[in-house]
Amino acid sequence: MAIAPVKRMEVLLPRTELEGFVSYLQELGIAQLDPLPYEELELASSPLELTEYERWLGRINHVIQNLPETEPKKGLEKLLTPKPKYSASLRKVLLDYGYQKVVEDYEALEAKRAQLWQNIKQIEKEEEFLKPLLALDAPLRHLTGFDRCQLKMAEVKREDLENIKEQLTEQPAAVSVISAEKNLAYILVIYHQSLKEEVEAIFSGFKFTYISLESYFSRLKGDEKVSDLLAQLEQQKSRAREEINELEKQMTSFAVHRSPLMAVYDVLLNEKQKLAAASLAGLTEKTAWLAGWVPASKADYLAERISRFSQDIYLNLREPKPEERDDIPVILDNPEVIKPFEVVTTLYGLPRPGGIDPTIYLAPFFFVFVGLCLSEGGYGLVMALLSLFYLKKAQPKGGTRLFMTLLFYLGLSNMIFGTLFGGWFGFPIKPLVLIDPIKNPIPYLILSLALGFIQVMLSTFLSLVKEFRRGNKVTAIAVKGGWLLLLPSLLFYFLLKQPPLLGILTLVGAAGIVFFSSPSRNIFARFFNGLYALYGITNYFSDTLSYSRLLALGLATGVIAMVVNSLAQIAWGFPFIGWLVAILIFAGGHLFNLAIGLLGAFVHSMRLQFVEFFGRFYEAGGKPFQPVKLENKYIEFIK
Amino acid sequence: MSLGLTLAILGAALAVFIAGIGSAIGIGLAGQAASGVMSEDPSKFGILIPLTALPGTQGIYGFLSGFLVILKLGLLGGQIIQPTVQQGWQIMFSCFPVAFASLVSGIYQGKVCASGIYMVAKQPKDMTKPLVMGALVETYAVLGLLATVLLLNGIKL
Repeated sequence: MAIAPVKRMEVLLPRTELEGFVSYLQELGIAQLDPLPYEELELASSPLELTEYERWLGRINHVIQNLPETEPKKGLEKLLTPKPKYSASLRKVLLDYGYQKVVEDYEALEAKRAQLWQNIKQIEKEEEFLKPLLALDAPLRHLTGFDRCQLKMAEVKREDLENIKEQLTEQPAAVSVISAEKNLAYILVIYHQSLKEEVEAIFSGFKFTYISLESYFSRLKGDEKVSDLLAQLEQQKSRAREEINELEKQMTSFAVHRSPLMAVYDVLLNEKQKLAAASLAGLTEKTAWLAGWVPASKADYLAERISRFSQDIYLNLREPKPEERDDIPVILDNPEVIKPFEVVTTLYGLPRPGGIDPTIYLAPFFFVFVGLCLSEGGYGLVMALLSLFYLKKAQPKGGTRLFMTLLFYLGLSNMIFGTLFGGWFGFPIKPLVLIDPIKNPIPYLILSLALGFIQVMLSTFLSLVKEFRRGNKVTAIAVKGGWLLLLPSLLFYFLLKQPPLLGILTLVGAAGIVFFSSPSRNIFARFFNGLYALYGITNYFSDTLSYSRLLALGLATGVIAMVVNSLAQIAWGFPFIGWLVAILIFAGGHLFNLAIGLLGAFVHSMRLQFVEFFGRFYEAGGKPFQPVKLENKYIEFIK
Repeated sequence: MSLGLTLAILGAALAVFIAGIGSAIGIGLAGQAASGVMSEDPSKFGILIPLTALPGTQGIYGFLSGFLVILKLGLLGGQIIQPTVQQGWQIMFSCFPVAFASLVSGIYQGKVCASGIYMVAKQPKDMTKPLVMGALVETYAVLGLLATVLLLNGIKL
């Protein structure tokens, strides 16, 4: 129980077998590899070249993300579908899938499509330019100019239009308005070339832009008008659109490659990891040296598997040396029922090697506290059913599985404590309710504080164990034991009718704390430091009071649930759609309350563990055990 | 309406709106931070929601206390209880702990959560740690609520 022992693993093998061996370790997934102190050992380390892998991973991922699924699934269904399973032995085969060609072909189609979209944008810009001139009902070749006359088109401001026209007609110049919009107008002016300067002078008095169709003149074949040009552009556009459709059809046909690509992605990902892990080896000309850790329980299995894998591999498994203590990875090892509560421990930080694993001690408290904080049977049922459904359907692994199981437990806890101290969706089951915190908060407060006192005592006891194990036996027994004697005695001294025996026990405990807290040899220093240590009783007091939050949070969910129900009841009385509004209020209100209440219950129960419970004895700082193993993004490898 | 009833209702109103102000400011601070982080990485929406919602609980505590007063006065239906002037003052003062503790704790929790949100932006795996930090600030709103509930419970009408 608690923290699983590990063994140091040292492996010597021919360099040629290094990659194959690491690949095999990945499949076993039970050994962690550490970097070696290369320079100290005068070993070479292999340079790491992963960019090629990373580039391919990025490209494949892009294709996967853009390909439609062959059997499209909606959000929830997608979440609940387990990853497809592949045999680990297929890894080599999958690499021969020819993914490079698939990805390149797909990318080529994408590039073509992008080009076509570019073209369409260009055409649209041109259309934008030509549209105002649509009313120009003359073949364009007539607009190229005349021998003695100049022809100009211009875009002017709508408000200047009359003014310009007037001034131009004063000159012998013909003005015609091609089209006029809300703000802009387009005009065509023809004048004798001798009047060039005068006309330009008139124009320069206004804001204007000349419009030139020169670029079109060279393309003219016959009597095209602007409308013909536009029609041509429209045709080009629809042709481009068709081509895009065609391309997209081709791209959709790549969907068959989606699931193989997903598998290839994961294989490549693991190839990359393999190289990264292999680069931890120290190298000589012919041999490679790997070092790491194995859980002691799996050491024999590993030795046996490796001897079967290859005869050329030398494996040494030994107990860790004292100087390696800080590098030992920590594996929490708890019975299956307790395991989900490791989530809470891990969030705070793993224990140091050789320390205490607090999981089993916090588990019952955490279970009860969340139940008391939320105290809603109905919400518990919803949580339990949802988490169970997810566990069965999606079959998550690792951390997600633990978390979901924890959620299931907390649901059960709420079904129990919701019945005893709260209700089901705001409706109490009266005969089963032990304490109704709304009408009768004091007993509930006492219950909360009592639970708190028990947990604070447990944390003191664990700190006694910790001191004892460290060899500080006097401190452990006299001081920690002193607190364990003093606090309950004092409590019951006042609760009961002040029996003298408890008074004496209190004083004995206090004496232990006063005389043994300080290591000083000076009797006065020792005594006064001891008195100061006794003042630490305020910490025990405030820690215990902190558990009063169990009452406040338990009340909060219950009252809000009641509010939701009374609102729904009021809405029920509305004419015609009352029932609908009532149902919406009921469902939405309880969902909101569940979310907020669960967040509060979870966070505050966790805080009680982290601050009030862990404070006295727990030291985090262990490194997690990270074995080389097959990683999954899209698929799951099985043996 | 008697002065006593008016004072009691004032108490309920103060609890709800002062605590509500605290939460509104707190969520405002956290929400701004969250939107900033999401402008870089929209996929963080899911994990930022709890941190943003955390300062919302203070408003709920205030509302809860107000509701307890409403319940006590029988304002939801049935016979409305007419407290004496002294009882009215008592109810009003009972609402103060939750109102003011929630106001300040809501604002400061918002600040802690906003920092937590910036932390999650860099360390997405550690999202529970800032939640616990936020819970440290919330303690005092919870204690305020507790005091209000106990005080209200002690007033016999």
